Amino acid sequence: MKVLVVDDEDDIRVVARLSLAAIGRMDVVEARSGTEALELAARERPDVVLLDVMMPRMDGPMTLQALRADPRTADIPVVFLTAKALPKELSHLRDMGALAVLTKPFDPATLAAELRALVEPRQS
Amino acid sequence: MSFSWEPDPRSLAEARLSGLLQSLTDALLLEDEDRRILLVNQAFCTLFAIPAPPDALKGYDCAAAVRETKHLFADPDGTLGRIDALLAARTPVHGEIVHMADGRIVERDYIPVFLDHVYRGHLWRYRDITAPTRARERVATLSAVSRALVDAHHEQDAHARVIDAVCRGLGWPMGASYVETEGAARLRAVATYASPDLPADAAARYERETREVSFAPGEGLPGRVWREGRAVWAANVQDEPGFVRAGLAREGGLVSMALVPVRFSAQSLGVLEFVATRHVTMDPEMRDLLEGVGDQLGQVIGRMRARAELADREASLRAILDSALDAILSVDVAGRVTEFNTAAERILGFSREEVLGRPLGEVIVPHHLRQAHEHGFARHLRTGESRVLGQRLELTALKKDGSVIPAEVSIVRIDREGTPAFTGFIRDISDRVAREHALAASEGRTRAVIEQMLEGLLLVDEATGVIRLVNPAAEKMFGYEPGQMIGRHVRTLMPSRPEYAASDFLTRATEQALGRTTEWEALHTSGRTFPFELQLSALDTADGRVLAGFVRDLTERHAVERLKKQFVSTVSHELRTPLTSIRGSLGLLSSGALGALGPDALRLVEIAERNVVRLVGLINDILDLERLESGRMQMHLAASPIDAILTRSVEAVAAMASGGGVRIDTANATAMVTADADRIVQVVVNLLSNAVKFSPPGGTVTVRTAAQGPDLLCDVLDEGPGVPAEYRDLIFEPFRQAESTDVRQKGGSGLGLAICRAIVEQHGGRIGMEPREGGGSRFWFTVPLAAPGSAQP
Repeated sequence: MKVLVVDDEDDIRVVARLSLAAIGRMDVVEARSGTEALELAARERPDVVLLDVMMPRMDGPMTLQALRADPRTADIPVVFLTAKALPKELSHLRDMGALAVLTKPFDPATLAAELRALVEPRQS
Repeated sequence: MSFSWEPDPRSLAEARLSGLLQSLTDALLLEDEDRRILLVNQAFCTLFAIPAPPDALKGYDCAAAVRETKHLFADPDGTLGRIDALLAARTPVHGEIVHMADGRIVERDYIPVFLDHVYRGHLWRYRDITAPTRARERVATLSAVSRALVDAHHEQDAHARVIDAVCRGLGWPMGASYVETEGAARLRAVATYASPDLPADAAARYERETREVSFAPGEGLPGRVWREGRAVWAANVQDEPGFVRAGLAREGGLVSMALVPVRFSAQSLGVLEFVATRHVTMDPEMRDLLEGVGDQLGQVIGRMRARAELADREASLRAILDSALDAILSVDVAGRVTEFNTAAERILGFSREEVLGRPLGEVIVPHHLRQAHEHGFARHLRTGESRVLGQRLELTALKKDGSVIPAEVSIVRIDREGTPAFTGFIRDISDRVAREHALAASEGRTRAVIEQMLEGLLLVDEATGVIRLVNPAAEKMFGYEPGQMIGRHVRTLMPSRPEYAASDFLTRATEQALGRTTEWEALHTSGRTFPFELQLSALDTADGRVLAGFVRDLTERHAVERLKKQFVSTVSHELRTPLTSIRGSLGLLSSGALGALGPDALRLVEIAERNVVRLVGLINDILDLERLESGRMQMHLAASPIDAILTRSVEAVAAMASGGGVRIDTANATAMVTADADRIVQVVVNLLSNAVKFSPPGGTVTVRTAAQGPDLLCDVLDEGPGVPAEYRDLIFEPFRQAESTDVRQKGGSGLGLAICRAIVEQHGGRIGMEPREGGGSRFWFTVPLAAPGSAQP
């Protein structure tokens, strides 16, 4: 399973990549901005995009919209990973068309399993 | 009957004398020593009503004749006895008064005749002095009546004195004076007279029976005279039909009776009654006299009554004056006090006697006002102008002790017989003035508080919605100039919205806001709207119910709350991002996925990871509490089965419990509660995890529920060390756990119980803790039971 991790924080990207790759045995592609994410998503065709919400210039929701707007990426499931914790904010994000919203901080031991549980039922 | 007359050389002289005697008006009777008539003249026959000519009587036995005719005398036996006494004494007696039975009065001379010292008979001379005697008696009686009336002290006295004077003066043996009583319904005797010459029992009976009886108008003789206002003469009352005191008349010897009305200005006030025990002829003079007495008595009584009435009126006026609470005083044209009532004595301290006749100005006008008082008084008398008459003035009055009191004064001019006189009413208003000052001071303080308080205050008439009073803070808040808000309708302070424009807006708003703190939106005069907080209460005032609204502009508070929310959100995000890296890194290290760590290194990494997890929990708790306390955490209330809530809760702490060797006992529960199930789970989990945390290994935590009125009571019982007494009141306050070192070792944010309390209170429940008997704690909370039949979500 190939995951595109989008986050402007380098540290987060590293932790997420290690969690998914080392523990979850997944292929991980990293993007440091929304723009980069669009390009990589189109090129790499990941099974799922793990998308940060608060990023400079092009934030998570904008990136999601752009992904949906591009026919090449429109059907790639997106899971938000956010430091926002208010229920209202979370339901708002869910309503945007994301597959799920996971909150930071995440448990590296279970992140991959959670993603797999979200994505695999859709692929089968 | 023969008359012997010795022939005598002096017969001519005797014949001449006889002729002279016959022509005299005095009655003459010459008797010889054997009481045979020698000579009698016509006047004698006339006096004693002897029909025979005088010459025919010569030689008649006078001793027999007088016995036969003794009834002609008022006192027949007394008269006979007196004659015998005179004859025996043979001493001349002149001017003896003899009362005739018919009322005439006769003067009698007795002259014994001695010839050569030999007793040869006697001469009786009688002269009728009825008319002059009566005239004298009547004059004397009138004078006595006048004196009696002058001397009479009161009405009763006048009656008694008059009846007495008339009876004594005119020889009436009995008499009575009647007056109308019982509101002129009955006539009753108020004074009686009975001559001391009467037999004692007869006198007493007349007086008693006369006083006992009373007459209706027209009843009996007195009643008739009373009603008709005319005198009545009864020659013999025993012949009078309808005579009330018939028994008395018969047995008491009442014969003739004269009754006259006692009149005053054509009105019969009473009746005078005069009774004779023999037949009396009424002559017009007597009648006039008695009527005159009746009138005189009437005049006096009428005047006495008028005076008594006047005195009564004066007394009641005096009583009114004296019972008045206001000082009432009068002055004459010279400004001297003529009236000073009891209240004046009390208020001003002077006695009536002290001030009567003294100039008012010297008495009660304070020194600095005296000149003005005198000038004003003089000017009024000169020109009729006045600045004080008929006004109600607040002035000052001087008391006897020299103190000056505030007084409400009104003065009226009441002229007496064309001379100006003045009456003043003075009310001591010290108390009122003191109260007014106190009230003004109190009002001043209250006003100062209202004016200076930062909170806005509006008083609104509940019935009309019109603003009665506002303070500067409210005016400033709504953007009005001072005074501009008064009289406006409260609706004009609200933005134009359909719900504010509705006709029942005030009623609904009052219902919603009364006794609570509510938030509303207001319209500032600049056109902007702003939120404000309203605390509304209702006051019952003399002018009706008034709504008192304390208002506070919430613009700033709302801005602060927005900032706070933003701050919390930002902080939590900014904290979460680095924590995500730390947490993830440590997790990866401890998982061994990146290669095995040495035992010490692994332990340290686990410590770091555990504390990061705790830090994240703390941040989550802070966020929760902030939202709960600001009321922004929405409760999704629904009927929820309590057993599901408890099962979820126990599952959540099951791992922790088994790790600590603690057993959790849950009794079966079937109740439905109205709750946000997730939030109540959060509460139970919190209480359970605390209980597990503090339970010794092998201990038991018990959860049980019970209905308590409209609520469900949920208990969480542990066997832990219990909460020290000094913290029991504080454990539901945020950040309190940190104060107990013992507790700190157990971990936790210290916000859990505060969050529990906030959640329970948002459900309308209560939460608390008590130590258990025999150790351990009982934490409990209540949550409303769902109404039976409500749907399960």
